[in-house]
Amino acid sequence: MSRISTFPLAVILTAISICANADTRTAPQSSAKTLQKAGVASGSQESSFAVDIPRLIEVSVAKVLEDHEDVQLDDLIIEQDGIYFHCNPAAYWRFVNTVTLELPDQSGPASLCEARLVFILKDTLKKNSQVADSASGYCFNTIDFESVRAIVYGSGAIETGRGKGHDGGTVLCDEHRVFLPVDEAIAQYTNQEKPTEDSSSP
Amino acid sequence: MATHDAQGNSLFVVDSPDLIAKTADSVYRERDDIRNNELVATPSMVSVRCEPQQEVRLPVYSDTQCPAPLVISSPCIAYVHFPLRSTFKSDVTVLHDGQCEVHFSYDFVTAQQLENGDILVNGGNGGAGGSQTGDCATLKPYLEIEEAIALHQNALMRESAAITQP
Repeated sequence: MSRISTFPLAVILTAISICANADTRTAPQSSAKTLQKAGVASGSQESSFAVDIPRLIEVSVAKVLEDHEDVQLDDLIIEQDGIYFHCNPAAYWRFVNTVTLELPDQSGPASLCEARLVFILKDTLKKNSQVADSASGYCFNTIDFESVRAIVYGSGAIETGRGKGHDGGTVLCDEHRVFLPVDEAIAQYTNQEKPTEDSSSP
Repeated sequence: MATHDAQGNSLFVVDSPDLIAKTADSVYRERDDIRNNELVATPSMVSVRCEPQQEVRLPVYSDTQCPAPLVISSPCIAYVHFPLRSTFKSDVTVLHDGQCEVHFSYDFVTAQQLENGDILVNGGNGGAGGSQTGDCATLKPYLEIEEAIALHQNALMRESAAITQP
């Protein structure tokens, strides 16, 4: 995991007001993860981002336990899947009071980027699987669960909320979604090897 | 912008203006099929995805043998979607008081940056669409790259000011 550093910020005084609502319809990412590399030497330029996933999970869990006293650490599991950060200057800039619908002062918490983590309440997780096409070996797998969602804003604020979820899809029948206790989810990021560039020479 | 926990430790940093600028430059430099000035932008063009043990395999070319691919471990990867100017299709409806609504669709290309700073310019492509309302005279369903960089820089400045408030 790359380390956090401080990036210089250019002073931009121009305020651009725009309200866009664009939804990605299809975004086939590189499933094979075989990509064309730009003409830059490996590590020749500084990365524009850095993330401390273990700490992110730790502080999110701490806030979840603080906000929801009926939830214990052992109740929570996390799906072994990606953690996403979305950046949008038009969204989440201001926190809206969901009771009064008042916008707080401009100098209040603000965020360009935010991360969302979903902690599933272990005992509520129900997995369902139906054979979709026995000839090709595909199944329709779904899960139902109750959860506590944590949103970590760029300002450092963390919001949590209870919710229910249902999702699923058609996958190969031998593919199974994996859910991990919090400590194991963190260990996935702390136990991995440093970035390597093996097999670089023919 | 850095996020800090109660102990003042940073949790994540995404310098999205820098990311947009660097990846756009790499796309123009490395992809012959992308014409000059073809890339445009949207406010929400930047994201980061982290996945344990995520790695990228890069082909290694050789005329004489079949070398193993270059494998780079990068649990987190930043993605930047660039709509293609020439692919935009839009349908504008006049509302009232000089306001218009535009429905649009476009194709985009994706560039990626790994944790070590490497930039990959063939990270995928696809289509997207949406709608937007605003003044008919200025309504535009996309931003120029320079406008997006300025927008993100401005957001970072506001965020920085908010964080440093006593």
